[in-house]
Amino acid sequence: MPTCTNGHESDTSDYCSICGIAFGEPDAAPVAPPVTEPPPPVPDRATGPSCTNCDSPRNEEDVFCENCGYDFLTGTAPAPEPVVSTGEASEPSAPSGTAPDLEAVVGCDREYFDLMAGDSDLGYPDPEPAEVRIPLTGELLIGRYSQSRGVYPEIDSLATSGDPAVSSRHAMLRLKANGLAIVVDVGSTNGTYLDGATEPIVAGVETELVEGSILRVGAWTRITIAAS
Amino acid sequence: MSDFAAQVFQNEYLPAGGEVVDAVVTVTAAEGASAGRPNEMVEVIVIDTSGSMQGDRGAKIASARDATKVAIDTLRDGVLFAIVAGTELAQVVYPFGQPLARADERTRTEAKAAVSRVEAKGGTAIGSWLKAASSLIAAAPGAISHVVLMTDGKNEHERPHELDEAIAGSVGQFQCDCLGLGTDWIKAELDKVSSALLGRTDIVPTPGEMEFQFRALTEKAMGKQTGNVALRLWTPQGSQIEFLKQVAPELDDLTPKAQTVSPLVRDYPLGAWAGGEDRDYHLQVRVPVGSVGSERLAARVMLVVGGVEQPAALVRALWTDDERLSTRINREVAHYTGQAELADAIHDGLAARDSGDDETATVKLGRAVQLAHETGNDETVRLLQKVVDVEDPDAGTVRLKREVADVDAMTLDVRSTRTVRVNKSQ
Repeated sequence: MPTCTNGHESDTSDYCSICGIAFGEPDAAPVAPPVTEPPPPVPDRATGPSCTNCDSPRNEEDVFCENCGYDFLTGTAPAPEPVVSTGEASEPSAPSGTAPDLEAVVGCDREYFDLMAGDSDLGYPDPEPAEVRIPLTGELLIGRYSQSRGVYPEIDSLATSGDPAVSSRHAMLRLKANGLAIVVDVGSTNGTYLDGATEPIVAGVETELVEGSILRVGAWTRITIAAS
Repeated sequence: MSDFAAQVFQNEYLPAGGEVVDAVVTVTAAEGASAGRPNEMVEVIVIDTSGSMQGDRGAKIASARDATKVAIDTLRDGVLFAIVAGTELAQVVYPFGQPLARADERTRTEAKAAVSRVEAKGGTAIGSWLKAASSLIAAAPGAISHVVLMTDGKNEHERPHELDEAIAGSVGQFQCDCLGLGTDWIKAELDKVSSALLGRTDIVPTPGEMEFQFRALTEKAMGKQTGNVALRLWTPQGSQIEFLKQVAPELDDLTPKAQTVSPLVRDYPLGAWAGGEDRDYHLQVRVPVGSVGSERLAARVMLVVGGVEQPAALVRALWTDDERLSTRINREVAHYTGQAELADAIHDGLAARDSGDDETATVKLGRAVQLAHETGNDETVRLLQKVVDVEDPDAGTVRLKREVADVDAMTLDVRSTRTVRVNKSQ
């Protein structure tokens, strides 16, 4: 992710996705003070690793900061040691522009709902919301939008399937540099189920996905990995 | 589902310290057949059958029957439809025993026969009509749904909050165009309905014009191919969206309809689009000031179609100390600023005239004549001439007419939001 002259980590490479400043252009002191929070402090290397958000010490394998709850997986700073990997050391995410050809198709699954939450108070959506297709690039957080927690997932259950039972930070989809797609449950409450398994995948462990893989989360959300 | 494109017209140069960026964005849906199977489409026609429709010696209800039959004949084969008669409650005239009928020769004949039997008797409760339309339309989830609602009176047989609740319950379910017959209806009431439900309100000055308007609205609805389109705006941190208005084919302020997607991203519902349809939007955004020579993205304009985001266009801000650049006025922005001022001048002028303030009315309506004349909005000039005598259109000198028919003043008021497009070949 490029960093702009104001210190923002940007999702886009033409203009900063936070302040809009053009890349490669100088931005002198703005007349109006920016309403942005200060850039995260740089961790002090001399005293060991620390949270990029609040600077408190952390363990290398922590997924969340014990102090402020900062999510090392989804935070704006790249996670140095994000997960316990099943295989080789974790690669950086695929840089945007490597023409990924997979997408996540987010929809509703009546059968899964009947199985998981059929006798709960939750009501299956009627009408069923239309499927939403989201290109699989870099990292996509599966979760539930929460302004109070500052969580703005790329795959937001409220905006797609309308599912209230997805955790605000539920799971991460990642397209790795070698083109491999993986999913990591980042500590969801209700679990992430792969391809009709009756046990959820183990949190914090990367699981490979292929075209046709089906993830089920929350009360009725189905995410299918499909060729775009 | 159509592909969409957007084009931005703006002067991207701002003087040192400048923070207001204006742009006109033209959004166009691609021409041609939609990919995949065609969308399910629903048309519900709601006609006022209250006692007042017996007026004009029965001419009103007779024209409502005829106009509804014309609308039924305009439905394409396969479209789902229903006819509702509205009084202090809503009665489904057609179909019988099911929410919606699929248009074919038989159902059209049955529906027209049922419409012939409609009598005018009872009150007016527009909220209950909307609720009825909503429950019929619920039988076809995911369809592109449209309602034509015609009334000749004010909403007097239910409480205002009942109408508000019915409107709120209908948002996102269907789009609704309203027609007010004569001059006894309340513009604010129908505007509230049509604005929330992404339609427009028009006047039917005399019963004889209803047939034409029913046909036009139904034909327009039949042309829609892509439902639930939204305009998505990203604006930078610390910025403020002053307004986003549709400015062509008519004025509609979308600013209050913003839905927050994330702190920097907002969605504005645009409803259903026909292939080849284009609309213009005026965006004004206040951005944090940059230094001279720097460039900031003021807005990223995207379209959301079927839940999928399509990148569309960029609105930029470039700070310069070259006054020749920063003082240039973009033609599109100037044109639509003028059309908005025109609508405001008509509204203010008519309000002053109603309250007996002839001086203000003369000034405002004079300015309206001047603006309409300048921008080639001939239809609005024609409507203004029924309310004022024009002495000098270039200078905006007018005299108020002594005798003005209510229907002429109301027609001018209702249609003041119609704009003309800027001539882009100039």
